[in-house]
Amino acid sequence: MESSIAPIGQGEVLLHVGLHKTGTTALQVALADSRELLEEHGVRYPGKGQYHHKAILAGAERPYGWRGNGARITPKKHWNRLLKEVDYPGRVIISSEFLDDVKPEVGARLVEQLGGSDRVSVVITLRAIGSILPSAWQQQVKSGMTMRYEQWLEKILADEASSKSDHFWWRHDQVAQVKRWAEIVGPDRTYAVVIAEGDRNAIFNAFEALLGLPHDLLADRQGLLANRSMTAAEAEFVRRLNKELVGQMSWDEFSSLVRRGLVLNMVEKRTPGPDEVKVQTPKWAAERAAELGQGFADGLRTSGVQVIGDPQALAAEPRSGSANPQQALDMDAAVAAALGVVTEALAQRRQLAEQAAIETAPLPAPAPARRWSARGVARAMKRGVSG
Amino acid sequence: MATPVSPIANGEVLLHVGLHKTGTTALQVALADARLDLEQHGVRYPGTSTYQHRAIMGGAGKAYGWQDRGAKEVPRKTWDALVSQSRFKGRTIVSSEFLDNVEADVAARMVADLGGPQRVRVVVTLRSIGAILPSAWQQRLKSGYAAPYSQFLTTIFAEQRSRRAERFWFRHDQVEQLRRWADIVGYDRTYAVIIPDGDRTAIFDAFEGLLALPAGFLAKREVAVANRSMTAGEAEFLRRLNKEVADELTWDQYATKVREGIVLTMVETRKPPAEEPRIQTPAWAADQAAEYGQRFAEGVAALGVQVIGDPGALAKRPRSAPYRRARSMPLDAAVAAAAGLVRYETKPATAGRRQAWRVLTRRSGRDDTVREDADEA
Repeated sequence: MESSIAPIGQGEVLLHVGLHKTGTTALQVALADSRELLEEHGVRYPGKGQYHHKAILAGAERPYGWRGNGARITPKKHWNRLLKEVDYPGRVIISSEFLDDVKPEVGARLVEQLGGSDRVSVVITLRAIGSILPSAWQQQVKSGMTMRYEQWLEKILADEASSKSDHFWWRHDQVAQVKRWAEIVGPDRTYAVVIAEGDRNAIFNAFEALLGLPHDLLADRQGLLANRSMTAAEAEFVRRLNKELVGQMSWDEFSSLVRRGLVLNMVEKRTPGPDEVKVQTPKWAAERAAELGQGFADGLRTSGVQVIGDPQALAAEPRSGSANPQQALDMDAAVAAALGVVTEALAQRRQLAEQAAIETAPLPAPAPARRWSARGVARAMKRGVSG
Repeated sequence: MATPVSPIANGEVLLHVGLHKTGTTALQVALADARLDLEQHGVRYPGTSTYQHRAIMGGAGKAYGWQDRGAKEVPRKTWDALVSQSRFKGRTIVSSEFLDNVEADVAARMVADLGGPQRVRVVVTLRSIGAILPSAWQQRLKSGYAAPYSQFLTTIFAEQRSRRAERFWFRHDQVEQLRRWADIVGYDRTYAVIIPDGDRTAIFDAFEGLLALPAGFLAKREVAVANRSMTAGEAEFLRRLNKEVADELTWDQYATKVREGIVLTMVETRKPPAEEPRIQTPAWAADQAAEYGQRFAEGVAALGVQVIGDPGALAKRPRSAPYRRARSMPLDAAVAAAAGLVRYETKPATAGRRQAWRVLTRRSGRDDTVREDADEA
């Protein structure tokens, strides 16, 4: 990893396009957390929040949500605001996994608006495809998909293309992804960072080098934020719930009650016990993933882009095991999940009631329920779920 | 059950005071279902909905919900309507488990409203206390209670009775319950119906007898009524959830989100497999229950009320096993619970002023939701 990486030039922009599940969230949290410190080192992480997703969605005019049911375009102002901040004498870092599925012409336009190919460098973080698979499936389940893991693998790894596999490989064909960006900014300005399994510091160290930051400045900021995977039972729980609810709600309803209310609370408010099984890839798929990974490793070596790390790590075969659905959910998980929905539903009702109170102000409206105060919610969330 | 039961007289009212978990819901559902046919047999089940609980709460002047937070008074007019419908030349049947919890003076007034002791007879349905215990605990869970089963049992059987234990035995001391009503309407006008464990038709037979209905008239209306018990996993889930939310919610919120949204759906939409663990009473409590049961059996037999069935059945010791908290939840139960609430929350299109206004001004009165006991948790 220490293979003498030269930082990007002053006044340049480093555009990090993901991929998903390569430690992007941890990186973004660390960047946001050290925003002021970064400026001292001549590095800017634009914006005030943790993520650039909104700005990128707006810039790419990419709808977010279920197609045909609540997907919407993010207002352009989010992108314009980011563009203004990019005008900076030092180094700018922009990071969002949502860049991984834009069309080449959109990518080119974004690069153009950021100052063109002599100002922008692109970095793509990569992990063995075998490690990506269970996470990618879970991500889809969190978005409402009802397909079982093995079924989904069959689709993704099938010889015949389908719209599902096309879309998946558009993002996850690592060689094609790297080449797509290399064609826009040039291979010498395109970096592929290969993250070896279990190496939590690799992504931080690579970015420290590319941004000319002291070693471990970002790594030391590694947050508590885990964005942990769901256990096999949790994932099966959400999948089954999706199945139960399919077609009965809008994206907004799903995303608030299930994604934000249920899943987030279940995942964030508890640490699974050591006996809880992780999502396991069946042997046949693990082998296929290793084959594909070898192809990516070879393709990357000959792509001409700047490679940081050992491409061979991309060919690692994931651990395999039974993908049979779980039958029982840990009690803590069930409670946290239900609590998440209740809390979310109450917060919504309260908002609605307050809105109604405002809109009907001239009428002597009965007071909205006060018991569930913002403080109470905060307290409950903080307390988490305890046995 | 072969004891020939002679029916109450025409123009009289049969007041069924429960107890909980003796098949009352099934009986009430059958009565409501048969309402029109009953009239043809000269029997009236007042009201238009399945249950008469609201009328009884109104008559008893009881609030429904958590006493300190959002309990709702039921308007008295619901009781007045029931009373006026009970002025009927045939036989009238009024049934609600909520009667098991009224003080003697209130009970006397209600009897007076219904025409006094010369017109009213009381029937109390009884099961062995050991069979009641897990159900009673579950019932409390559905009201927001968060103590584990073992702790509930310790409270109930403690030498020094706490207020909670007093309240429990006010309802479940079967001898005292009978005595309370017999003192009002007379011992000869008070019936104790003993329901042996697992006998689903005993309650129907008894009421057919008391109301002079043809044999099987009610029994054949038995619907596969939901109101099933929760499994150990489901109950533990609810208990843990209560622990998290109960202090934060008003009764109305609890009733809609947790009771209706989560629990009811979970219990109603799911059929747990036979091997899924049920709630088990520990041996020490099973022994206590058998002892109490023996006392009740003897007390009921000696009381001088009219006994239908074998009081000996009340002494049955429940099956026992060490109580273990469930550590996991059957996946389909978790799904049913979560789906229930999510669906409940999204059924009426969320946004919109009208909806918001309805939320704001919503009345608690949805008749059939007052279904089960909600004591102060």
